[in-house]
Amino acid sequence: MLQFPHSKERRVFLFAAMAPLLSAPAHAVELTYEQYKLPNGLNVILMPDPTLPQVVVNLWYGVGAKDEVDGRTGFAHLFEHLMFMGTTRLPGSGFDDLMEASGGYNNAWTSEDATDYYDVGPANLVDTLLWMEADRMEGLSRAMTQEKLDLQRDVVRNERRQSYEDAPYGEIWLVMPEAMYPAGHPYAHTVIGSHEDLQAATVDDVVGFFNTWYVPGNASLVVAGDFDPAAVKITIERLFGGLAARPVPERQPVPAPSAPVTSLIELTDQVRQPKSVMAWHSPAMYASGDAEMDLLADILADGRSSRLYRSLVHESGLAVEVSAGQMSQRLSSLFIIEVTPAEGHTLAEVEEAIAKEVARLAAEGPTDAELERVKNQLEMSFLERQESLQGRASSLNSYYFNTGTPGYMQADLDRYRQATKDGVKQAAARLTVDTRCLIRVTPAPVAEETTP
Amino acid sequence: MTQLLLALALGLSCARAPQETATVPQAQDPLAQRPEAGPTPAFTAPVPQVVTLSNGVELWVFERAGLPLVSLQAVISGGAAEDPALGWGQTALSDRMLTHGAGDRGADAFAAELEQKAISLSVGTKATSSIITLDTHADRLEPALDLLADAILRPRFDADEVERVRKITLGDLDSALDTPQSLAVWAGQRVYWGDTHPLGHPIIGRRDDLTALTPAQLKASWAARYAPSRVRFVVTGAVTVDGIKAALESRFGAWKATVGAPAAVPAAIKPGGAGPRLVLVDNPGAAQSILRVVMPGWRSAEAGLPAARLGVIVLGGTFTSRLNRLLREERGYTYGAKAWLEPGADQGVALAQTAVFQPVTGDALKALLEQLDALRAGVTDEEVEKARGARRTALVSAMESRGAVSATYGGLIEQGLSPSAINDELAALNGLTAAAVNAEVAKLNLTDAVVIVVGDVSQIREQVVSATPGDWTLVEAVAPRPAAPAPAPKKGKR
Repeated sequence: MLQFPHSKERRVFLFAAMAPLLSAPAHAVELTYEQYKLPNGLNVILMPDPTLPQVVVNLWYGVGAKDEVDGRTGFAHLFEHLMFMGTTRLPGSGFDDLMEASGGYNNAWTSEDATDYYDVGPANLVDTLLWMEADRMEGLSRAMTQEKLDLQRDVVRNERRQSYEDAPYGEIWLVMPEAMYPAGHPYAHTVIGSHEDLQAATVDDVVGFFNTWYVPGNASLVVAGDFDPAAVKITIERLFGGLAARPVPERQPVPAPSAPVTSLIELTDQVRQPKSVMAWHSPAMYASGDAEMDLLADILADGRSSRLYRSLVHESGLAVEVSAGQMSQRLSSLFIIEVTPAEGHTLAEVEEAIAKEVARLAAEGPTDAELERVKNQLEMSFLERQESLQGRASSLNSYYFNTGTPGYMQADLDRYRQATKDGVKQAAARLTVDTRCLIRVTPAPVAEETTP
Repeated sequence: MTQLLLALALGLSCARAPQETATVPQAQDPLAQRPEAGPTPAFTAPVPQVVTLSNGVELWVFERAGLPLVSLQAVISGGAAEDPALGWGQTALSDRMLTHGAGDRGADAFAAELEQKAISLSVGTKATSSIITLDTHADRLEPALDLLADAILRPRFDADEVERVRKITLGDLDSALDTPQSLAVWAGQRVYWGDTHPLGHPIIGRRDDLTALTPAQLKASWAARYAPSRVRFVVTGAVTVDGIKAALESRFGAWKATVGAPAAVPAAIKPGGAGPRLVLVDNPGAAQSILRVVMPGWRSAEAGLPAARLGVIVLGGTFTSRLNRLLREERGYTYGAKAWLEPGADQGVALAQTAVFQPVTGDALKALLEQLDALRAGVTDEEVEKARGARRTALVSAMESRGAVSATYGGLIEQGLSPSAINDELAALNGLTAAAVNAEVAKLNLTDAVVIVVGDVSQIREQVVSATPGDWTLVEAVAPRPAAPAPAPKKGKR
């Protein structure tokens, strides 16, 4: 079915979106691009591709929820919403009006580590998209008002209700950061933030955040699609080159935690099935061991021939669903396993069965066939990621910010290709019962069952 | 410690706020002049090469070099509309079994073969079709097609695997029942179409029905739907027309099963009484209420569909659409509001939906219904131009990945449209005026609409009734299974 580019959901990327960019195949996975920097520090990446008459402008800022100050959780994401609320040159809803009037659309997302804005439109819109991005990078804060802040605060609080409070098991993701990270750690709070902190945000906060983090030296601009690189270079120089260079705050190193703050959390929710979620600290994005944790997750729970599916769902029938993932982040990562027991079985039973399977993998390591399976699947995912123009644009920016090299895709794939059975075995050995945080959700009592 | 440092950094930067480029003199401001966008570049969608296997199965092929990927869709007409009255979920469960053991391979071996070779093979069930999607590396196309052929031609329906998949499906059903969005969709289907209408029930089924289905029934469901007369393929990627035709001919050419065509989907069962039907679904403790409106829509081949589509985009198809602008950007009631069309070959519906903070449920509902009324009064030239651009961009974007191309053209097959339908629509878009759009949106029929509110009824009933007076009915999202009819008297020899 054809889908409209649906109205923007400026979404929060929490754990599910923080998996590392899994990339590339034995087939070449090179992205052809040109990179340079403007004197004010703005990084520019151009990736011409005339396949379709469209362009993508992707502007990535190196700021996320980890950069929020005490009492302002959720602010980086709230700020992302405010970036669409108009400037002195393009006031009100002008950003969206102008873009959509010419067939363009846009969206954005915020994670712990980054905020990414992207615009998509017909090729004739490229100068307009660049102008709009330069305009708000230059002067978003000058046009900020209390009214705009209040309005987007309401929208974000509704996003919180929709995506977490009314979503089945949504509370798990609200309590996990505090359970895993000590107070004061940049990851010790959610990206969506608390209602109280969102309520407390002021216009001064908005201006301060913009002036601190939304500076050319903390941003990277990708232009991808059907455009003339020579002409676009001139446009970029004209529109962005005059923006003042401003310092990018230096961040202090943060020690990676090795154990959770809380080992057991028990929740109730309006759900029919109980669920257990286990979380461990794991190596940071692109650090040694990160790729092996990814491979481990796939060996454990990706597909019906994975270990946990075979053991818990197929053979013993203890569970109806199991999944695992390495949620890679800049400072340190989380490895997560989720399981839903089958009717008639308890959380304790499935938790024990998982611990047993993980221990077996830690003792014996994976088989050659298992490692080959997950490497094949990763290579496919690298190939498939190259199909979408916006996907490629986002990859270039992600690699640039996280590794310093926009074309890191091949090296990224090589991390997986070079992983060994012993490396995966060591990864499994990290997942001990005494280093995990266990979050259990059980159904809240209901007055009347409404089973269809 | 870190947070303290960050706070200090913030404070310092705040002190530097006057360094903003506001100091650039206006006359030299390179941003002062907004660029003019030139003409929108021409676009023609690719048209597939259409070939036919010896048994009549049609194949739409897009040869696309570059990445070594192949994406295939098999579209099987039929779907959950063919579920029997006491077998809701039968079609979807039968479809789900196709990849759980086929040919010489049991469920384990089948999954292992797929996953070892990184072949993705999945089956999805819709109301009027089943969709099989195959994605593979071009180097592994041959084994991928072997597995596809096994799944379509030789599914096993092993009893022990049926039990496993049934249990998983019941778990999925429980998850869906916990999701307010599902409740809104199902209540809309139930009340709009009617409990006994082919489209009036959840595709996933109903617990009691799923529990009662036997392997023999699931196999019979497959046998009644899978035959050359109902199947068409779309293939996009690193293939040649001749190569993929030969590969599919060798696997499917000898397939001679015969089944009847699916019945046409009848019109919705309308109860007596005038005005929209107003329905509440209880979701105790919910922080938000879902508002959903289901209205009669357009069929896929109707001449007015492109214009109607633009009208509905104006209402809720983009970020600056009327609904999203009002409910999100002006009032802050919601994270988003949208409207869209679901055109089918026989019947179509128009829908609008949002999820709003519980205390404003009544106000939001009133505003939503007012917007629907206002749309019928007409749209402006400027709005039509914007909607045209949005639709055109969506059609261009749909040609980006191999999977999207196969899915887009598979969608045309589902809707009974020709391979040139995308270009036909692009051509039609160019000539559409506000008058043409207004002629279509004026047909939006709120009298036969269903308005569904899913929320904490103890908190929202009063405000909903006050904002939209009428005969509000509290319903379960899914109709309970009726008692089985008494068995017919046995016919014996006299």
